[in-house]
Amino acid sequence: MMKSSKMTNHPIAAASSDRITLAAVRKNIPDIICFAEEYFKRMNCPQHIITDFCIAADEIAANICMYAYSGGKTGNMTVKCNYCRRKNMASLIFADSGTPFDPLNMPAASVTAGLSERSIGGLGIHIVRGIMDDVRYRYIRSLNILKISKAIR
Amino acid sequence: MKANCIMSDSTLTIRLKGRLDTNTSPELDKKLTDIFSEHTVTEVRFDLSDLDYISSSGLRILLGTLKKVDSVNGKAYIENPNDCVMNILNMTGFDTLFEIVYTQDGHTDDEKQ
Repeated sequence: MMKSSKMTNHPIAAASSDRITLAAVRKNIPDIICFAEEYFKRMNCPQHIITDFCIAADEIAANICMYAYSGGKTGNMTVKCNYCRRKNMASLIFADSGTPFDPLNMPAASVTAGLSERSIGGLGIHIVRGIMDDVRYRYIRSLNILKISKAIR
Repeated sequence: MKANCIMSDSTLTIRLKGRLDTNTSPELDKKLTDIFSEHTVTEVRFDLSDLDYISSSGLRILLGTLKKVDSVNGKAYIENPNDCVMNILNMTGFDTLFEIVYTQDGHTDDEKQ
């Protein structure tokens, strides 16, 4: 049985039962993961689905923390959790107000090159696309919105 | 995440427990950097029996370590990944870089009684 990580005591910009907003800094990534994990546990999602969302949340939150706010700017990241029983579909929606960036337009990751040419660039979003059933990006009202979804089965 | 590193001759066994992600990778990275600076390592065995999951931050460490041992004509193995970890290794092509080994009891010899 996988142990949950515990929420730390970092300042929370905003939170409800299905949405949390935190400063987009690396030390807050475990809290984003934990929040999503606890939500899907409450929804009785299977463990393997929860694990995939934890991995995807780590990749996406890390990207936001590293790239969304550059040039000394700071900002927040928000994650909203959703579980639609009718469609049997779980989703996470990530939002940040940083530089417009569509991760789905990134060059394909290198997954077949030999060892010397192999790099890690682009693997994060490659993994997210691989473990989720649907990944969509939109830029609306000055927000990067990335929605990832997975059918419960 | 717990990382138990054991050097025996020139073989380094790294037993990982928990989650290897953005939060936990820097700690393992530092540990391995220290070990490689102090020892000649020609074989690395990542024992992932108790690893819950891995993200690209963890893969970065696996790849960096493999490149280090490869530069001295050494070898690196991944042992006993669970289904979730194996799925990530497959989709990123890491299964073609590493030799994946399943040991009978899920742990390396020094834990056998």
